Amino acid sequence: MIVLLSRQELEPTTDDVIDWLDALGGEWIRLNGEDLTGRESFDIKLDGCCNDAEFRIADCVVRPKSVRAIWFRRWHLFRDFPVSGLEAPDLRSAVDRHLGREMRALTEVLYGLFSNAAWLTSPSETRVSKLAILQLAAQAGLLVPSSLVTSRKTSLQAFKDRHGRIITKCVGDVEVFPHAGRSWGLYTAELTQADIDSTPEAFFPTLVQERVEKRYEVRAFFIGAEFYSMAIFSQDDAQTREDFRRYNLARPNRNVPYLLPDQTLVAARTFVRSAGLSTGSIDFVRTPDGRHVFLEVNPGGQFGFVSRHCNYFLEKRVARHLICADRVSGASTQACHTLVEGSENVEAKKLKNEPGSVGRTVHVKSAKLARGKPDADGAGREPIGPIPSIDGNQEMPEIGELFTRETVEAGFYPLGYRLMRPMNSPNDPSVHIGSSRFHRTTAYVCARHYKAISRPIDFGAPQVKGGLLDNETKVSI
Amino acid sequence: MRRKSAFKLYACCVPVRGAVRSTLCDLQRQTYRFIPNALYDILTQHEGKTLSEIKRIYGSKARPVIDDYFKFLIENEFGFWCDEPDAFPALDLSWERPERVVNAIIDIDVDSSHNYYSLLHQLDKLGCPALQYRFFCSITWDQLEVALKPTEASRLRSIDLIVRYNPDWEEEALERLCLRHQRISDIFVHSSPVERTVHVRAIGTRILYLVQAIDSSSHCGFVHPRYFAVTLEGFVEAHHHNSCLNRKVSVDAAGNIRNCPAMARSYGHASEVPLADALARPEFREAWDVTKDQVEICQECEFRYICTDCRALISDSANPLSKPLRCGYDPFTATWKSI
Repeated sequence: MIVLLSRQELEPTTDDVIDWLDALGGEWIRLNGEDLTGRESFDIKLDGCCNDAEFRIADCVVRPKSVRAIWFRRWHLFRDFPVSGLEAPDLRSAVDRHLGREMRALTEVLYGLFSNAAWLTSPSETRVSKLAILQLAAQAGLLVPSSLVTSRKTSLQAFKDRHGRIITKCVGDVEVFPHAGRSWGLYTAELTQADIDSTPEAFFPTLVQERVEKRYEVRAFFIGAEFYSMAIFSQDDAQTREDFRRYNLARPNRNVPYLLPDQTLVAARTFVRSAGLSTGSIDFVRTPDGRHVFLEVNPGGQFGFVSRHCNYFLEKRVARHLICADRVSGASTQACHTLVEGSENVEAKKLKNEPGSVGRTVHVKSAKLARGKPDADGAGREPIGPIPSIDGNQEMPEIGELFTRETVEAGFYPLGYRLMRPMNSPNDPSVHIGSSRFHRTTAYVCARHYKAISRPIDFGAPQVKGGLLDNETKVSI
Repeated sequence: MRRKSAFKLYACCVPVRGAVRSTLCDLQRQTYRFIPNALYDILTQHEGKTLSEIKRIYGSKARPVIDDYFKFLIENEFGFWCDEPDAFPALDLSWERPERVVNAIIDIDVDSSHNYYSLLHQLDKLGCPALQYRFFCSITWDQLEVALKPTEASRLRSIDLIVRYNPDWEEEALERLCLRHQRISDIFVHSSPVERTVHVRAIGTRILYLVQAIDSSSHCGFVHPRYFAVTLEGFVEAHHHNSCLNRKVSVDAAGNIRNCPAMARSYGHASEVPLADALARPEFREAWDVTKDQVEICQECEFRYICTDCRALISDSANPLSKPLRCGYDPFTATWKSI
């Protein structure tokens, strides 16, 4: 049995992997973090040793000893509990904090139940600090940017003087702050001399790094020793220059398959091994002079967009990996991976069989992204066929300030707070509608089909549109 | 651009050569542009060469034209100059899906008596992510809800509705329907008094009111740029499979299981034959692997990987590889005519 630890919303990748698990005959159960505080009752029975333990939620019983593979995809954050009946704000926040801690402690119990299974991203992998990772990467032979954590203006100035252009980012995970009806994200941002001039002498400890000149970025997904990379041309767009996650939805960055040079690939494999990472994504910058500089690694990070843009079928690879881990008892992820490579034929045969019936799921529509209008040809009207996968018609939010210079000067904050920007990502909570309710639920992000299912409308003969090279006779050799 | 740099198309921008002109299909931004075949040759035969090498091949008279070509390519972000062309492999054109059925059609007219729960349950088992209901006749709200109810607990990601205009329905009612069933992607309201498009606020579902009547399964198979699917998934599928019929299953208005409702061959009645059994018969899947590269005329068309084929209504019924009947495009003159 494979257990998928996930969450209800915004997890289309879990849904896609589940589709492949079904096709390849995997037995799975999905558990969303929210289910533990939802309406469904649940128990964890801890009798004697861990082998006899039992986990039950609603009508679904999971015996840890039958679980051989775990995909730790994502988990709920457990905060903002509906603390009802309490008026005093101090008490409310203290209770909220405590309940959050209790749920996280409970999550640890859950992890412990499955400690004998092969984890694809074990919780410990996600706890390694960014700075420790940088050191491991450098030891493995990867190029890393000079970094400094400081709370003093003088050190900051010296660092800036040495490196010219510098950036700041979080030491830990990125955070999103809700304010004024939108989400504000702590993106990687450049610290200019003007920014430094306006900082107080002492401030909250802040991570600064030399700014690495970009030709393009590389997102390298790995599972075991296999790497699947994508180049992201974020440089040609002012909005995405420092951080490609500040998506330009109207004219998205070009994302194309990419092959890391051998030397970088070998070092990256060494790094992944030494950091004990089973799967994740490494962010590199490819500099104009041809170097590949390691920025950071996201253990178990998003890979759906890499898979989609490059046609890599990563969801299938993950599903296959999990099935192998589940079938080969006690195998390490690495061993499973070797086995996965030889399983192509077996799996091709399986595909012809009825999809597995073990995974039970109720699919409820949860979030839907508004759709854009691709540039239609012919009649010049929007097409019926294609699926715009990411919204193109959202208004770009104006660049504003959440933390003003005055706020930062008066308080004790990391410097990045000053540079916070409103988010414009597909994850903008303002576009979520509906929610799913039950555990095992696959909360589908609905997507228009990739082509017209039938074509019953007669649009007549199209009006042909002109353009620079649209007319054969205008420009030709 | 640097002198020794090679030009590289972004892997998601793929040129397709036609008889007299080519398309440059932008699979990421879901658009295409026409390019002369001469540019197609530069992008394919002379791929990886520097600008001066290309200019040398074509001679001095062609220089300004070649400069125009590359200006066009750079301005539209179709490609870039680079020193490491080998680091950028072409897109893998293989097509794989976990589902045994990728889309389904259920037709409904006055005499239909489908068991929607059974059909949806079976489609779920087959992994079907997309469904189209085509109501040829007038229906009531209750009938519509009966058809939509079983989709709520399904694994569908998208539902298209084709319904007949009903003067008793308020426009807001249709919008409320979209909010209640958010997996609805498009609603086409045929036999409508006026032609217009409504976008449902917040979720972006489209409601298209159309004057023409869609009253039978043979009212289908029209080829038009508005139906082109410039998507990576559709583009790669068209290289290996039929762009309309591959992994499609349909139940016609009378309840017969067919690959497509307009196709002659039935594989039994849905009340007697499970969909999976019909699908298991090799004849059912006969048309699945007929690609545009095999279809006469289409094989020389620059739209062949973004267009959707039709094998039910073809121009020469004696020739199973003749071009779709309702295509007015002639790739040899690059002109459209009415059909």
